[in-house]
Amino acid sequence: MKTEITLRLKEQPSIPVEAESINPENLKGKSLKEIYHLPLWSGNRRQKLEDYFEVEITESGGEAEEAKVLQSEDNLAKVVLAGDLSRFKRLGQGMAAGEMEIRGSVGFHAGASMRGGVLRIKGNAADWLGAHMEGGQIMVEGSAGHFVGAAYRGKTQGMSGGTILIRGSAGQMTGSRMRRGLIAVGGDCGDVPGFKMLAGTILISGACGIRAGANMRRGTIVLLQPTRLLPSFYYNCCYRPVFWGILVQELRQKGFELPHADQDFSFQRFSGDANEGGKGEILICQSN
Amino acid sequence: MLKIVNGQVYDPLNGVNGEVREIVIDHGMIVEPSPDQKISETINASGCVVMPGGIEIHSHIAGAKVNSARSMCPEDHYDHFKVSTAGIRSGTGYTVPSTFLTGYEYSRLGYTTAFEAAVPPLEARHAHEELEDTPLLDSGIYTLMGNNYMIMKVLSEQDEIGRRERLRDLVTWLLTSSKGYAVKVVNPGGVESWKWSQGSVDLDTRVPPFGIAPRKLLQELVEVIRELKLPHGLHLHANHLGEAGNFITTLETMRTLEGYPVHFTHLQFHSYGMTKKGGIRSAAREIAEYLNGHPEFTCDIGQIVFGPATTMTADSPMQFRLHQMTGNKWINSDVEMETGSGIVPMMYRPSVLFNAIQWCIGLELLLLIKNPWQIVLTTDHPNAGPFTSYPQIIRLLMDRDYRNSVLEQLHPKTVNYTHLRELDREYSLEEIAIVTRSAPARALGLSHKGRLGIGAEADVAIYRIQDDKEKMFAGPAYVLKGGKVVVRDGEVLQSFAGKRLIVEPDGAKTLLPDLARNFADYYSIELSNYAVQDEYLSRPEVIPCI
Ligand SMILES: [Zn+2]
Repeated sequence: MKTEITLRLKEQPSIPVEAESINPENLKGKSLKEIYHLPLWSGNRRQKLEDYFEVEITESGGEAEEAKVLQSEDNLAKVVLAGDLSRFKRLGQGMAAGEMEIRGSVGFHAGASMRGGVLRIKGNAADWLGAHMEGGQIMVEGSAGHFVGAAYRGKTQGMSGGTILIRGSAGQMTGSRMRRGLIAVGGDCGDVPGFKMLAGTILISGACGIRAGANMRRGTIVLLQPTRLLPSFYYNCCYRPVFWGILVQELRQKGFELPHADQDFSFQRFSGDANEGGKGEILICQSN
Repeated sequence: MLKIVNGQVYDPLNGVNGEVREIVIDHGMIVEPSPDQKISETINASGCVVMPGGIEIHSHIAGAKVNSARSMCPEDHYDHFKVSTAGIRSGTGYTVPSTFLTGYEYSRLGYTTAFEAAVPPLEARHAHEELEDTPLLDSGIYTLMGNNYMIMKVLSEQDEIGRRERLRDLVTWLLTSSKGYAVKVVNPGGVESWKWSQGSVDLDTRVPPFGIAPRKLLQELVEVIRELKLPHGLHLHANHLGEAGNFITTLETMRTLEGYPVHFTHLQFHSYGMTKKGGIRSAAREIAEYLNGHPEFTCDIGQIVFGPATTMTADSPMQFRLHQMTGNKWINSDVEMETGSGIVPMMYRPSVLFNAIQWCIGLELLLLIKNPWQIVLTTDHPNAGPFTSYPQIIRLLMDRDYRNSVLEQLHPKTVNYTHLRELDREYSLEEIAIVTRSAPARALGLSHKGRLGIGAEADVAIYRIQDDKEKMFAGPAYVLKGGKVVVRDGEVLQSFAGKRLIVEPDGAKTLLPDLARNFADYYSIELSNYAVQDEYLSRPEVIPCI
């Protein structure tokens, strides 16, 4: 038995809504009425969830179903949101467990500071997806905006754990100042991915914008398409890294297929950013 | 009329030391109690101490650099905000709070007066605009003159009598144009030297373009300040701030200025000896010993507080060094003919030996300088820490066991370079009242402040007596500003603008004609747009030069 709470958007609001109260843990054990009365801020007005959503609680059975459900050990209901939620900010922000699925697009800060659980976004995500994320997994079927997994303005460390998988493209400053974790982009990526990155891994399958890895201290950026690097990155060697095969397998297990990726790819390795000690690396695929 | 009864009154200027006294307030002033008064409100202060409102002698709370720090450090704002309530505005920021919040936070500690410590005349309008929005505080600004082109030009003139007169006119004009309260000097000559791509300066280094040595600049400025009878002496941030071995320069500066009224600011940063390896050690004993023999000098501490800080000063070469040392972000500004400026955010950590020694030196000065009237409690906010940490520092001064317990958590080598562990002194409530109120009032020449006698302004702080002195001073039971209750149980009740304290010394009200030509040639604005107009000060109060 698994409980599913479905929130259907009635109509798109004219101004953005702060929706950090919507996440599996916060909905746990609440009655329909209590859920309808959850606060949502819109501009300077405190409103209620019922102003925007119709809520349905269903019990879905069947063992086959159950097997597919991730992380149900703490008995959290699966939360489903349906509709164009691109004006809803902070969905799944700070969530630590459970599963949340959004059948539509989401606004800024989705999954920001997330600590665990799974957040699935069937549409597109706006800027600051998974900013300061500490753990868990975010899957985006569409594309993501700028500052995926990045540090907020003035903060020195961004994402410090977890996985962000984006099937489409990502915007600029992806993984800026990230410290740990994995970001994989199936499509193209904007400028300066991995800016000032401290550790962790960024994989970009499509074309990459300018200045990848600028000011990076450590960490790995994997580029499957050729690109021009900054002069502060220098060539080391061409090799077949062992971790690549493991990474491809892991991504596959998580349902993230790289269309043409082969476990046996060889890569050119570049060290950089030399301005910051040169302990980071950019790997550019040779075999593509 | 309002009456405060049953409180233990601390009024060091009038020799009242904890005796229970009645205080009657009428029209914002303290008046003589008499039986036929119509009392509309009585505050029962039993179990409380009653002190004059706190006076901040050196803090960076308004103006160009403060505001640049706000925009430079969004990380200072995310987790620190205040939601608006009836009549009270919202605000953000921990080490650099927004204007209204700055006023509220000072008020919530029982402070009722504060001075912005470093304003280039060119940026004075901005500082005054922000102070208009910093409520519940009487305030003023110190005008920067230690690296001013025109000052140095006048000092380079040969004719001694003419030079003195011209300097007096120039200082007067700069003070009145900026609506300043005191003359501030930051790293005399050192900023100008850096602007010419030259190294740091000692007292006798000749600084381009006029070859003026910092010693001469200081000597002539203190002479002029004495002649003009300014209420506050020279407010001096000496050379070599933060450098190992700088106490030699500090002592030499003090000897040079002996007999003149000088306030040495954030003295902690200027009391460093040097170890064999070039690190810092405490020279608080040497500095304190000197000051104990020179009652004409006052100082404030600039006590380090562990945690985040935002350093901001006109000492731009020093800020460049700090930026290179820490790798932290940095803003630098060249303020035309007047000075420089730099901002670098910092984190002081007990596990970092340098920071731990700095922390000890500040407390050592506070404990070794015998006469509390010479010393003022500050954190050089927000350079060494935020002013909101004052209650914690008060506890460190009043509670030796607490002090030693913190000392034990510092870098283990700290004790090798400091004397703090050997110091047993604990401050009394009277001494706390002196270093936070009465001493700054006296050093600033504010005769109606820092005391509770008849005729004093009714700025009053009432604290519930508690064993934990940090708790006691962090949440006053009542704070009165100009006779109105503005804080009750740590909550701000109402908000209104304080007075702006200015001086009108007896000197020229216009710029000397030859300097006006320099002004036209080199400044980016017109002379006619330079002076801060009267309209910028809604409640000015002229403190007499006598
Ligand atoms: Zn200062």
